[in-house]
Amino acid sequence: MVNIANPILLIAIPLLFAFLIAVLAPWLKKGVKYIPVIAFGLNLLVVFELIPDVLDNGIVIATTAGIKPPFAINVAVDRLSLFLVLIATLLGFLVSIYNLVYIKEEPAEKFHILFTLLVTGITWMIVTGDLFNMFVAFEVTSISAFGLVGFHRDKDAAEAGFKYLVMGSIGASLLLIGVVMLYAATGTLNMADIAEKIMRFTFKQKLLPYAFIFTGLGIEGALFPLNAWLPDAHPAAPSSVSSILSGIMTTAAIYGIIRVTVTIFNYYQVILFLILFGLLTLMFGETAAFFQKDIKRMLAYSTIGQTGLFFYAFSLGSINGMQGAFLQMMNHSLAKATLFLVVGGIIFSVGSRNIDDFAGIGRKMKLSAFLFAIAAFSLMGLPPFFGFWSKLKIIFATLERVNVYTIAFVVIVLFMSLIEAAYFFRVMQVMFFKEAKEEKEVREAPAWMLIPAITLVVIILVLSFYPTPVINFAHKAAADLVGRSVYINSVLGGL
Amino acid sequence: MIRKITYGIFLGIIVLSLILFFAAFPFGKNKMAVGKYYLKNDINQTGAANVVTAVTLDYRGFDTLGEVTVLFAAATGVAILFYVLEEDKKKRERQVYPNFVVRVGSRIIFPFILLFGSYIFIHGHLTPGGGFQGGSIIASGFLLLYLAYPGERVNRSKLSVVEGIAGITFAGLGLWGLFTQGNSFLFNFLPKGQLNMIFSAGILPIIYIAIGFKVASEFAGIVDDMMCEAVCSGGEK
Repeated sequence: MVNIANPILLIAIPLLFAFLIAVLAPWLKKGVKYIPVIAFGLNLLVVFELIPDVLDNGIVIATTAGIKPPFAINVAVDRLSLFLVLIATLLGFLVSIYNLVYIKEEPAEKFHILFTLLVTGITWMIVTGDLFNMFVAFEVTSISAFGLVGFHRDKDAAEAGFKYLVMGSIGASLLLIGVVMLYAATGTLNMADIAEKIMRFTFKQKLLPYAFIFTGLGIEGALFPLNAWLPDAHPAAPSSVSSILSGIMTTAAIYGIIRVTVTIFNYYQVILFLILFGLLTLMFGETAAFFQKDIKRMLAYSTIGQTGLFFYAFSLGSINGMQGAFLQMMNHSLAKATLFLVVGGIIFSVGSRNIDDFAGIGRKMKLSAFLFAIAAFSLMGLPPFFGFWSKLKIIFATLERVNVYTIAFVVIVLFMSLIEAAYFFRVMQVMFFKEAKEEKEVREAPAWMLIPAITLVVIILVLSFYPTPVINFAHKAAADLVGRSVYINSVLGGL
Repeated sequence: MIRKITYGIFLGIIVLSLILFFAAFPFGKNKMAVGKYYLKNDINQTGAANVVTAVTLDYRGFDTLGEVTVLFAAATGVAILFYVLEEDKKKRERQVYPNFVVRVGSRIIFPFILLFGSYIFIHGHLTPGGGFQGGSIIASGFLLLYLAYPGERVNRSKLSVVEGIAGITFAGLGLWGLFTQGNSFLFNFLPKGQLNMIFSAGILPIIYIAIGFKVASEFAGIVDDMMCEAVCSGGEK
């Protein structure tokens, strides 16, 4: 019996299928769109097979080339990676179902190839145990994203794609320089091996490589001064791509920063600095989102704000703070992906991205409006939805030490949640209570575009009423991450 | 002006930090634990005479799969951005062909470019070079043909099939190793053979041949997309 609980399959299967699309496209022009669904369906099976193993042992490691790490590349899935990989694979699977009817424009087969590669790259970034391999995965992700952002080939898409291309390439170069510096200093590229060798380094010696890697990943993760590309790129892309970019790609980049900061550098001295980044990003994103008229731009700015929120929670540095960050990541991924999918459907029917044109949608597209409302409630943290638990956790984690600063942080977080609620309620007010100016034939989105959003909303609702298992799991993931020894010892020692 | 000064400052910071860092940690001086291991065990473990190939395809073969994927994504992205709808394609205008010397010369030289490129990637595990280099050489041959005959096009769907099959070969070999032996992705399951012979190093030459085909077809595809952007769409002058 072949053992399929191997995290390498998460990368190998979709790659194989992406190449298969290129082979079959000349003959099966209509049929290739089902291939990503099959690929990510198989991936979902592999993730489910991995869950019990990771829960039992805390980590699952796979080698390549039959040579043990640090000499060959390894893949390591611990609780945190499993958490994110599950979300990434789920979103990949659901959004590829959405793509079946959503993508009508040519060249569709190329779109499906790049979409598969995008989700694969994100998964790859999350599961890899090798720093250079993470850079390669980062490149796979961002290069497929450049192409997808420009998919519509109009003026907006071209501008957004080019801006993203320039900033993303600068980010990749900085990341590469950082990796080279670490290799020069430690002579190895394996994350666990670097972590062990870097322990004898001083604060100053660690600073430069850290700064380069942080800036490189920070551009992709849209931290405040580095996020000029995001508000253009996410709206310009097709909605299904936006939901992956906003839902999991920025999160994956933040995961990279978390992995580098805690597992590799064990770098608690920079935490105060990171808190500043988190709060600035939060304030910038939410305030800018408030002033948007274009719904997709609003959601994109909201992504920046949410990224700031969970990055802030992570940089509190405590186990509870990281637990809150992971929960918020999950909440944001599920809710924001749903929002983009639903909004994609609405734009599909209404033909406009302007919020004012959404008047009367609440009556004509009842289901879409309802899904939008639930996802928005969860995103802004309205009780009893899942977002409420994660935001509550973040506030409690902040107040573990009560002083002037932490109280100020809590006030900022609460005030920003208020702004977030304000702009989402404004959209809902237009959707539900405003009369349409002119009677236009608006029909509900096709079933295959609604099913993924319905699935995500069902998951959000289940999590809202039974949050305990996920909360406990996030706590264990945070404890493992802060403990570090599980990761380092099992990669270097075990096998 | 202010903009240029800002660029200068950022560039200065990057250069300064590189200088500071590499003054403290000179590159490659007796501390590359991993590198030493590769030099010592390369022939026993992989059977490749070219240690660079042993590192890129065996020890870090997973990275190379990633690089191949990056190129695949880039070529596909270019194809998307330069896509011209069938109905938008202008009828091919009468082409002004380059002169006789270029046309005939490119025909004579093209087979030799193909031969040289294939030699480079088939011998990747023995001599310097490999799939990426050989593939690029072959693609440069296609570029030459395009320059000599701007109106002609290669068959894109054939390129796409070659590209896909080469990628499947790479990923498939990796999975074969995972499922049949070693329980490790990209496990070198073929016999190592005799050192310095063409049939040595197990799966490494097969992977390099696949990469050679893949890179050649991808670069040829990129050249074709860019030529088509200039020729098929008519373009506003």
